[in-house]
Amino acid sequence: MTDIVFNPEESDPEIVAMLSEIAPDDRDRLAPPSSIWDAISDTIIADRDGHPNRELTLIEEDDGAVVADITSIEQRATTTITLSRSVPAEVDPGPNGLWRQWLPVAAAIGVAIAGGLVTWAFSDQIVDDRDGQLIAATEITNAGLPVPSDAGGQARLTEVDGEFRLELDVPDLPAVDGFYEVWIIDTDVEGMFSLGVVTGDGTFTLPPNVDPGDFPVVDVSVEPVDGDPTHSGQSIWRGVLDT
Amino acid sequence: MTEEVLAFRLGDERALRALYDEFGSLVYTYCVRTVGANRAADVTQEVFISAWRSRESFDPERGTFPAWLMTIAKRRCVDALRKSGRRPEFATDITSETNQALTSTDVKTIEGIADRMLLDEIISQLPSRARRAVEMAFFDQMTHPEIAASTGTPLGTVKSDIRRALITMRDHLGGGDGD
Repeated sequence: MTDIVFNPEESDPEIVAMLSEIAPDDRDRLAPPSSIWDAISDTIIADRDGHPNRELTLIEEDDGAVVADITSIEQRATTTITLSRSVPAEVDPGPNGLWRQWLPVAAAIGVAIAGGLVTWAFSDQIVDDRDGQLIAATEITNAGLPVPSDAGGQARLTEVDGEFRLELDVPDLPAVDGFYEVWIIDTDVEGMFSLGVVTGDGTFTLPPNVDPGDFPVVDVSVEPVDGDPTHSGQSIWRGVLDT
Repeated sequence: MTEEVLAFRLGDERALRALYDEFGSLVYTYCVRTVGANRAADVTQEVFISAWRSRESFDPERGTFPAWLMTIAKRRCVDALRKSGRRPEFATDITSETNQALTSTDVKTIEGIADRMLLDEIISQLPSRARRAVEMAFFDQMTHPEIAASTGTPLGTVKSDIRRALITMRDHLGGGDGD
């Protein structure tokens, strides 16, 4: 048998160097507590059943400010956004009056009211059903956009039972002083719709009666927490769906 | 791609459970070492949920499943530390000036731990003869003739086992962008 001329260091010096650095700590393993799988399982079941993966709670603070806590169930993280600094002097909130001011807003996006807190979920915006007929798909990239990023993602437009959905695959979102929002924009960049807040990969339902062919640009922006519902101009990823 | 990973990619929740059973301790231990015991459970959970939700983006041609999973784990740990404004668990140079910011050295160390733990995981999955040869060569610093003599394996077999093991490790580390 011919002896194999083989020198590991010459074969793959990088791997060999890494192997030489493996310490006993790197070989130890800890058993994860059972609560981890329980939580994963709960989330997956919620996903499967189309349950919400984010909740929003309005809270009235001592100084009269109204803040919205957006809790990402996936990330167990809460973002607090101040919606109103104080109650206008001419408005008598009365019992639960402050909530009444927000009811039109709440009603517009489907709110369930429970006890003293107003809590709703974005289940009407975020759905997990990835099935449906693929209409178009595009890479979303950072090319030429104001907010720098080395990463990119994908956007897919699907149709399910006459409803258009945008499936967004995005990289891990770097922490920003604000939040991410996804839009569909027309080619003249004059008309646009926000499809919602982006906290990770997700599926967003387009508004009914909107022809996605008229709004083929998919845009993810970084939005400041200023209460201004318009696009900040700070786009980070963009692509065009060829419908 | 193993049957398990294929089933995972196709959305089989039982496959996710099987992969969690196989790699849960790897991810959890890694999280304990980087973000600390208090937050490791939450971050481990995030890693697997993130992997599940982005399962269609897993491309077996760009890396293996554990490599992809550890790429997600690295990012989640760095994200968790950045969000909390804390240094990693292993940081020993914390002072009042440095305890608030994750340094680039921290990030490199976090990545290095992941790569070394992944390599060890790959070694543990090698066929027993190859695993023993690799452990003797790289952990016990034995020469190839010493390994051959110690195990009664022909020298050429020892060398080819180690060579193939290195190729396997390279294949694992070769790619795999997380979500």
